[in-house]
Amino acid sequence: MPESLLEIEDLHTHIATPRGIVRAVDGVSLSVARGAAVGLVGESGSGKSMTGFSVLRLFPTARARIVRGRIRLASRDLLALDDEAMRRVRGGEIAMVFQDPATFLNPVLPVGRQVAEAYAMRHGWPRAREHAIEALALVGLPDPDRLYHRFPHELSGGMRQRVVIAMATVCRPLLLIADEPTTALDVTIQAQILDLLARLRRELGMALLLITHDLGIVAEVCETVAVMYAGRIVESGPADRVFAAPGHPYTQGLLASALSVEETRPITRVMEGTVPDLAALPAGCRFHPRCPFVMDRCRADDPPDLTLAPGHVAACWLHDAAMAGGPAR
Amino acid sequence: MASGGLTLRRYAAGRLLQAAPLLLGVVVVNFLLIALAPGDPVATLLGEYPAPPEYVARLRQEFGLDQPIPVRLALYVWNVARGNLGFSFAYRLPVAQLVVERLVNTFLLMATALTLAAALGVGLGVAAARRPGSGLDAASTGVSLAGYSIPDFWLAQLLVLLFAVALGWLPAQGIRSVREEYTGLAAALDVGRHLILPALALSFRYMALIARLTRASMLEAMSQDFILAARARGLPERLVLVQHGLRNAALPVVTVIGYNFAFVLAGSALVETVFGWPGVGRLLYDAILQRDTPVLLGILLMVSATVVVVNLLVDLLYAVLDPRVRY
Ligand SMILES: Nc1ncnc2c1ncn2[C@@H]1O[C@H](COP(=O)(O)OP(=O)(O)O)[C@@H](O)[C@H]1O
Ligand SMILES: [Mg+2]
Repeated sequence: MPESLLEIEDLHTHIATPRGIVRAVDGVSLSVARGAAVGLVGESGSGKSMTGFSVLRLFPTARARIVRGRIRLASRDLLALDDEAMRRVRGGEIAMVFQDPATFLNPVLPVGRQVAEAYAMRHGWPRAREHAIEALALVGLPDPDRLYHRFPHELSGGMRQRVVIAMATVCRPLLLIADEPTTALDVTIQAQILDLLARLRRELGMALLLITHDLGIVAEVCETVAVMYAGRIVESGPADRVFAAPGHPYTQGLLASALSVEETRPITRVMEGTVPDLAALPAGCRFHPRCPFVMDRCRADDPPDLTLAPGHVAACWLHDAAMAGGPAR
Repeated sequence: MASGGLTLRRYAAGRLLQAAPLLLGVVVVNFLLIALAPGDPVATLLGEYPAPPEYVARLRQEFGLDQPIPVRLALYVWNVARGNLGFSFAYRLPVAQLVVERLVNTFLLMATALTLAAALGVGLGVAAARRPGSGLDAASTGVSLAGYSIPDFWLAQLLVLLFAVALGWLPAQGIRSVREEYTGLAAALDVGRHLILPALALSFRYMALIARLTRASMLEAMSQDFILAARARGLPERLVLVQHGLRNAALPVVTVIGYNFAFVLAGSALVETVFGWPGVGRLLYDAILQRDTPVLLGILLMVSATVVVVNLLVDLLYAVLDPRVRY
């Protein structure tokens, strides 16, 4: 068992909205080993981004708050750090890249400067420039010396995403959280960016938490997968196992829709409905209104994590020992 | 980038060339307006004293007022093109010298007022935007409202009453002390003391405007994704605020400050009158009363030229601040 780097335990992050409290993260537990690549998948609105932001203790809205849980990085309790210490963790040990490189770059500053900033803040300017140019070269950008002085609008989407990745990796983080890093890009560029992330992970020895709605991406890059639904991890385990023998009906549905889209097969069994309103979660299992195997018990009780195989768990009553006879349809 | 610098320079040269016909238009229109207006500068010059008709005729000839208007216009344009703005009837000085002297005083006043307005306005706007809805935000809204609604001249008189008359801290009139003979640093300090009240009076409205604008612009900038990205890199909040927030929020603020330059110039005429500040505003006022046509024309021309140049500088500054601007 490799040494654990990030440990999230029973994390709850709420957003106070006029409609009520949105339980964006509702009891997530997740761990990432040193140098590992973990995929966090699920439909849009299931709380994946909020989980990533929670690890940085930084949110796109002032209304979001971590209300409960534990986040440890290399056995340091991140939730116990004061603001100043937490700020130093950001961009240092943990970095994050986001979906749309166009809007996450400051339009009026040269890209090299933006790459250098995080390093300069820690080690001073003259060296930061060199390191930024190195970081630009490392992400595969040509002519980094000249590129340093260019502005975001002068670069293509793929180049911008490489710049954003250089920005995140300039301080050699232990963990990179990549939130839909290829969603805004062309398909051909997507593959290049995924290759880049895999290569950086090897060369820098950093761990990767890859947030995506695309199972294909996870299959390509990650050894471990966690499937998130409506604020909770409903299944997790080794990627090949989860994809070969999905234990949760939600994962099965996701896989079915992914196959039907990618291989343009006739749609066999695609999930209906959408992620529930996180301000008004259904009672019992949060997936039961969409579940093809729903039982009475699912409407009343929230299933705990049940182990299917070593390291493979699913939160579904179908796998309760008492139900060993198999699912009743 | 060398090519970028070259483009910018070419653009600036083009803009200045474009300004030439505009300034010619200013000269012609102003000349005709004044030449066709009722009133006779010679009569004003002579005042109420009776003068022999030969003397009046000689004066008219000396000033070229006996020529038909198109000839006078052509002559004037020709002289202006060679840098000769004429001779003041009233001051018996070359117009260019007179106007430049006064323009320098006006610029001193304006530069001080605008610097004050920009520094306080941006500071107040940023502070308000950091915590929208806070007490500080409300206070800044109050100050802005006051800035919009208090007339300059009334504020000017209030300042005089308080700081000059009641407290006696600061002089209320002129640009330097009449009774003392200061030199060097002491002279500069003396001018500085005279500058405070008129600069405050002139700056208040613009400070209010800049504060409002900065607040709105800053709120917009700080809600952008790249601010989140800057924080995710662990940058200290001060750096996020200035390098990423204000650097973007400054764009509209710079534009508005620049394009308000002409209005600040107009506002300074009023303030100069209240404070007896020997600027171009005062000169304009006197020139109108005395029908000192060459001075009037000279002021209008030089002020127009200044506004053109300042607007160009603002556009260039904008291009430097915002790399996305293309010409
Ligand atoms: N800025 C925000 N303000 C209010 N609610 C938000 C914000 N961002 C996300 N949410 C809510 O949090 C929940 C989880 O969102 P998110 O983590 O972005 O999902 P995902 O990344 O899986 O698509 C959603 O219900 C969404 O409406
Ligand atoms: Mg998301």
